[in-house]
Amino acid sequence: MPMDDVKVVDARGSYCPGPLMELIRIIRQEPVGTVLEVWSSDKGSAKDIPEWVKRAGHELVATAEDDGVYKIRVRKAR
Amino acid sequence: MINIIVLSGDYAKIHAAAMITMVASSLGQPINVFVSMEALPAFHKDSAIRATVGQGPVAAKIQASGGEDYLTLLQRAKEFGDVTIYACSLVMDLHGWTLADMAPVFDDTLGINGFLAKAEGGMTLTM
Repeated sequence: MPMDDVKVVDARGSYCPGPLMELIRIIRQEPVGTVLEVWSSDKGSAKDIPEWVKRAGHELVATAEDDGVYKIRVRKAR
Repeated sequence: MINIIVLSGDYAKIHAAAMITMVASSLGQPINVFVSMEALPAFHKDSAIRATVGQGPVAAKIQASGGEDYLTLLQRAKEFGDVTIYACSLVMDLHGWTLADMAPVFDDTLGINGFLAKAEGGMTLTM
C-alpha cells in the first residue's frame, strides 16, 4: 500500500501510554477503513498497541521495527 | 463496569489509576472513579496543593518524561467513553472544599455508600 494512503501517527519520543493515546485520539476521528501507522520509539508501546487494536476490534495490518522506530499499521474496522 | 477507588496520595498510583481509566474507557468499558483520602489533594485546582502528594523515583521520571499528567489522562478518558468521577464527600468536607475548588474532572461528590451502590456488580480496583 503506498504511504500516501496511510495516515502516519508520529509518536516518536513519547513514552507509554502517549503513542497509544495518540492512536486512540486520531482513530476515533477517522472513517472506517482508514489505515494508520503509529511510529513509536517506545518498546512498551510496540507491545501495548497491538493488544489494544485487537481488543478494540480493529485490524492489525503489520508491525515492523526500523532502526529503533516501531511501526504499527492499523486499519480502522468499526 | 470497572470501578476504581483511588485512596493513595502517591503520584505514581494516581497516574496508574488514570492510565487504566483511559485505556479501559477507550475499549468501551463504563468506569466509575471514586477519589478519597490522601488522593484528593492531587485533584485540587491549585497546583501548589497538588504538589503536596508523595512522589517516588518512578513518579519523578514520569513527570520528567513530559507526557500528559493524570488530570489530562482522565479528561481524555471522559472524551473516549462513559467515565464518571466522584470526589469523596467526607474528605471534601474535612478540607472545606467544594467542586469549585477542584480540577474540572469531577462529575459530583458522593459518599462511600452511594459509590458502593454504583459499583455493585462490577469489578473494583483500589489504589
